[in-house]
Amino acid sequence: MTAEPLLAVEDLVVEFRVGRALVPVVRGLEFSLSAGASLGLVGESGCGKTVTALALLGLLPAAARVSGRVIWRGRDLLALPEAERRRYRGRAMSLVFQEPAAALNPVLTVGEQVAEVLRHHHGLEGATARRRALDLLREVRLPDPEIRARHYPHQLSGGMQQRVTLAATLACDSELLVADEPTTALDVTVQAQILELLARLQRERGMALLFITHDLALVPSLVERVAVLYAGRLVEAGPAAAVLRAPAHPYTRGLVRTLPELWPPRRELPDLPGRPPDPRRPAAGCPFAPRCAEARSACRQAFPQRIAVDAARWAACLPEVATRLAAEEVLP
Amino acid sequence: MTAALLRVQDLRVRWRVRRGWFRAATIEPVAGVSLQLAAGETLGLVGESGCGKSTLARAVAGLLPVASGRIELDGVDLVSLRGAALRRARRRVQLVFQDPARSLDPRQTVAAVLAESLAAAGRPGGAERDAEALRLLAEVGLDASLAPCYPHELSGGQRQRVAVARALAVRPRVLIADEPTSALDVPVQARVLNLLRGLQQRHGLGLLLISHDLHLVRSVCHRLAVMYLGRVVEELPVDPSRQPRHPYSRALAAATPSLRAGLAGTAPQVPGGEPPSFLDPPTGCPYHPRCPQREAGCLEALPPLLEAGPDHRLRCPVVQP
Repeated sequence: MTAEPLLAVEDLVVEFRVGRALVPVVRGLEFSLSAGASLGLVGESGCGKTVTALALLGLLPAAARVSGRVIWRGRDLLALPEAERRRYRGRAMSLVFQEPAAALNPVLTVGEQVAEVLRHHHGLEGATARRRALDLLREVRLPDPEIRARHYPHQLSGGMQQRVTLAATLACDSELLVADEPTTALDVTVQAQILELLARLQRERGMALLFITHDLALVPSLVERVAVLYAGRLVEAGPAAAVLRAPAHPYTRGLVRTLPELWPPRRELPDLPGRPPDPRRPAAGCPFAPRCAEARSACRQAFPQRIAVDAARWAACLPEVATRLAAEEVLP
Repeated sequence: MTAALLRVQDLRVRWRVRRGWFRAATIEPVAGVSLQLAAGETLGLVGESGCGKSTLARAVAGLLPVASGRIELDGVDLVSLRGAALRRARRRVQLVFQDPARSLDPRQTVAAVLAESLAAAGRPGGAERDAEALRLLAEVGLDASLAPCYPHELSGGQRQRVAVARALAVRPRVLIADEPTSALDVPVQARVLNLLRGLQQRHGLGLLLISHDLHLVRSVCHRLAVMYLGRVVEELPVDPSRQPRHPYSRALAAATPSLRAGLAGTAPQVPGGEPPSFLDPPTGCPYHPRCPQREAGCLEALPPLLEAGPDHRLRCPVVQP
């Protein structure tokens, strides 16, 4: 990467005030995205994926304390006052949620909602905004857009609702789309449609994509790079195909091995014992150590350094473990 | 196949739904389903949401009125039973739901949930019941220290174990699990399914596993049934050498995300069309508007479910051998 990245996240820390304590949920994230590039952020529930997305957009509640840097084209968004920050929301990046029904306004027709975004961001008015909204609904392949534009969200299926939220996102002309589990609430058939739509929008509009998911199977066909999040820290990152083919971190490996697709037929299913640590009791050392078959005493002392597996990928693990695992393909 | 424990025959569920202000319509979310399940066998039921699979599960568990058909458990038709006999028989088919956070009462402790279920099964009270509750907890792999906990104090996987223990308390013969792991993280899914399999083997349960995840069904189940718009369109043994043949089963398989396919450069394939509505079902084969292999005859009559090989039934004359 030679050009300045579109987005660079440095040492991002998010803590939530719970009573008198500060609970760290994101503990020093670092990643960057160039214009038009795509990154998958994967991990189990509670690992800090959604909190990261909300922190990028500046949408966390007041109980959250955010530090570090979120640098957009060279400007640190975290240093900006809210009034200025708002200008980056939508224009620069926008967010698509897991539950489209919760993101849409139930008392406005979907055409009106997309038109409203166009009025707000581009100052379009009346018939022009409505015509342009219809174009966008067509672009996301909403069936019968002329008729559907006059419908309210509850009259549409989940897949159609997600298309509408994507159309509203396109109305902002965002350079980065943050999609937080956009297909979790949908059927596999509809999921395939939305994934294809995301891939097409990225290709045709040159939009950068931060795709957040717990489902590793969705990653390789949609994004170029993947970053694995565990207990608020990145444990491994690199080209999606290389990382998922032969994960260098024992956690990534555990996630891949427990995919239903790789389960042996009608035998004991592979387990990843234990569960993620309680963020209220952050331990020193590698947060995965208590569940890790490769753990040594050093792992419990300090969070491991990043080991470069090759020029494009790294893992936060013991050098000999990461190098050995990265040489072993996990798919039988 | 061994003798059937559960035999569902031509089961139909009908609902009256309102259309607009004055009109009403009858829909049939379960439109003549026949299934069999042997003791110790796992049957996977897959299909898109709204295909009627959850309605079928609830009807078989006796939670919904049935319009017609038979649900035989050990040869006794549950549909014809009434009163106390029905209540007794109904216990023998238990349902575990997708979201344990919603199926457990937030104001009941784990111990109270199990005690209630044991009482409903007519088991003795007092110390004996408490001991039985602890035994159930151990059986689903939960520590006795969780007995005084409320559901919100448990993880998703632990809650689902409580829901399974509650179902076991009444000593069922058939367990119907409706998307039991879709709300759980992948590593936890495997653990809950291992638990279900262990219980099934120990108690000789028939297990009907409803899922939208074809990979999961393929690795866990003995047989697989694919449902579309209220009907079974294909039923076959799970066997790597036997691929589903119905165009809908194949579309579903191609749309299912796969790491292996993704790494080989193949994205999930987008099937054509939107799922149809029970309110306005297509004529002929209900899948014909979306089917790439449609022929003229498909628009005319509903194809019958025919034998297509050993233990394989198929509702498609076009791909029928």
